Amino acid sequence: MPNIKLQSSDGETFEVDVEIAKCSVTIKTMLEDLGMDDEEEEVVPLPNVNSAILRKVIQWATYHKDDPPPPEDDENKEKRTDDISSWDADFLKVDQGTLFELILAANYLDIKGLLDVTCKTVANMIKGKAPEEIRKTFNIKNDFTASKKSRFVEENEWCEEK
Amino acid sequence: MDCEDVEMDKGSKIETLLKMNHVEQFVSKVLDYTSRYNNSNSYYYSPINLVGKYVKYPSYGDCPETYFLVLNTFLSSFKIKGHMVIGGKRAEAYQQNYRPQDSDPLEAEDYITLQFDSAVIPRDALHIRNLQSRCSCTDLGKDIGQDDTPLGTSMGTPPEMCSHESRKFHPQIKEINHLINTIRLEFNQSHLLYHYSLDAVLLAGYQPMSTLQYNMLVSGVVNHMVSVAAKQNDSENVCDTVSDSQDLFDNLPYEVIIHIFQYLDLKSLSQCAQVNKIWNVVSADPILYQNLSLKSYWYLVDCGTLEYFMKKCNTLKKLDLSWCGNDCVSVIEFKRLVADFLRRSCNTLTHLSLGNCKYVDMEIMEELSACKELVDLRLINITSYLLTINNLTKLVSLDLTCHNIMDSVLIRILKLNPNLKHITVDLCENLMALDQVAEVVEKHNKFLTTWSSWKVVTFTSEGIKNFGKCPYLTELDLGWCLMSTDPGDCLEIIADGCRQLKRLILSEWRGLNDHLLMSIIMNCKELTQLDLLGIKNITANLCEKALLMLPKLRLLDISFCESVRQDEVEIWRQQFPHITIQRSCQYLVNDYLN
Repeated sequence: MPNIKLQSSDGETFEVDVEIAKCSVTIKTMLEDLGMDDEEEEVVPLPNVNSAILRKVIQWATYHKDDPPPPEDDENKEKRTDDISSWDADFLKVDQGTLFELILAANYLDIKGLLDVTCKTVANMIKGKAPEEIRKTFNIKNDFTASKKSRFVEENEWCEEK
Repeated sequence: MDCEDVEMDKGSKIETLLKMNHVEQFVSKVLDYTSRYNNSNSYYYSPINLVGKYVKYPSYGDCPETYFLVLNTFLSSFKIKGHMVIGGKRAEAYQQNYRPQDSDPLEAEDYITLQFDSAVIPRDALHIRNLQSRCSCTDLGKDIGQDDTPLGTSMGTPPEMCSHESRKFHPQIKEINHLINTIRLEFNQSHLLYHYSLDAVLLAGYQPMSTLQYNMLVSGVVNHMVSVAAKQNDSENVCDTVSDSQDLFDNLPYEVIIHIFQYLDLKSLSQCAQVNKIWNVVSADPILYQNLSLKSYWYLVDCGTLEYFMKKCNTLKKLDLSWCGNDCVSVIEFKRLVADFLRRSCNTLTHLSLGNCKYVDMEIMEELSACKELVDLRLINITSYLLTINNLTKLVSLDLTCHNIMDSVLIRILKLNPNLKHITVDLCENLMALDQVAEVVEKHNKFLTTWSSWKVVTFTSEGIKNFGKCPYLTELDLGWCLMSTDPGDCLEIIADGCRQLKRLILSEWRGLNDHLLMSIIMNCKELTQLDLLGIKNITANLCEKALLMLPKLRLLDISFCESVRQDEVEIWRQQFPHITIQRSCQYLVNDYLN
């Protein structure tokens, strides 16, 4: 298998199997558009991903290289969040900063599987929490004015068990 | 009977404070249910058997005097040995929940609503059952208030595993201080090997001793006292975590936040709306509300809920309102809103399920009929009005379980919808000429893959032969369809024409024998489930051939097959550990017959 080189934003270079790198639609398109397929010495710059995150992304892609391609059909996409594999769950036992950087990287590199699993992980951190708990979990400031707040609370109280 | 005391610290209890009367009572009336095993005129296994005291307990086994829930073998039995065959899916697409992110933690598939003579402060709901089961149950009490508002008080319990014996089942109930005379039991049968059978339900609790007490309870004065006391312990600690770390969501693009939010259930989305301004906007994006399933929230849904979601859904594709609205204060108002909802969504709606919605009437049917894009329509347990859906032509899946549809109407639908693949008419008692229906299916619905007419008894072998010309058929449920008539050669024609069959249900085809079934075993090599319940003529020889010659077989039901001895079954279970061999509790049934 031929390798290509990926360069992170902080200048570190990673040598990766082309097939693994191509799980990123962004890299795949870049290679095809630029005809970089056969050039061995070419380096693909990834200015939006730092080395720590790129290392994680490559680790994830290497483990999942033999996965079947994700289903195209958006409509029937699996929306459950209790189906995260144990390997992925372990892989994502990271601090919140890293998790969110992985989401951004997966979004930028267009790696559907990684984006899905990281977003599911965040969704699981939100599920079943009260607004105040959500704010605490993610350090979110409450920017509602008192009157607006009570309106929003009232509007959304259908689900409160009476 | 003694009601085993749930340990409680009695001092602070309202019943102790008010010196209320302890009452235990059995069911007086069955108000509503989602599942029944037989036609409505039969008392065997009927919901009505729940009324009054238990009759079979403590004997264990299959007793027609109890209430049976229909076991959806497709959804359940395959899970038993961790098989989950059929591509590892939870269920075939045509049976799936419209909004998987909202699937209820109990995954309740059925319920039964029961009324008792006296309203009590509930302290114990006891189920007496005669068959082994793993089941989770939620009891949802209905409050007796001044205006009879449903309170939707959840008294949930987690699933539990039971042994092979009849038992009394005490779900842990949440302590509530309202007078209740109606409870609803929800069931999840996904881990069962056999039907869930209930003999009786007992509601124990405390009754007011005087009109004064009654009025205090109804007006909620007492409840207020108790809740004030409780709140003092529950001090809300709104701590301000003024930390240096930033709000990580600030960096995420809008579409990524949407991507995260699309995994959230409706309740969580409503919580998100209250977090801050940005979350309020994102969580209201109509793209998150294209598929709406309120079934698992039925006890919370009222007119206000429906209006709330109507505002958010501008491109509704899938709508499941099953179980919702029947307990509303104003059912008429709710019905009007449902009609309005359908009218607004008529150009986009593709999937609709209105299971057990008692208010469905001509008005709703008219709106429904205008939803021309519908491909999936589920009208389970809707009996009050006839279906006149002449404008629908794109249907792929139609489920009319327990509907009162008549042959002529069904035939018209079949003709108008050439793409129909999945047809379920289980327990449709007004279908009198299934032979003609099957003839129409064969001519007009070339892509038929699923047919289910469980317990509809008007087939003859001539009609069934038509399925032999449906080459794409993978599921054929003809249980109890051909009980006493001669099967003729219809099975051979099916075996020859339907090589893709995965599930074949032939329960109680009493005219079948080894020879007739061999054609199926020789030809249908894709079979994963074969149901031969109650076929008395088949021998152990045939069962062995099925086990040996059907490489994909995972479930063989030979309950009540009297020529097959139990010791033979035990040997097969050793020999074919990957196949679930289902048997009724025959020895016990014989026991009780004697």
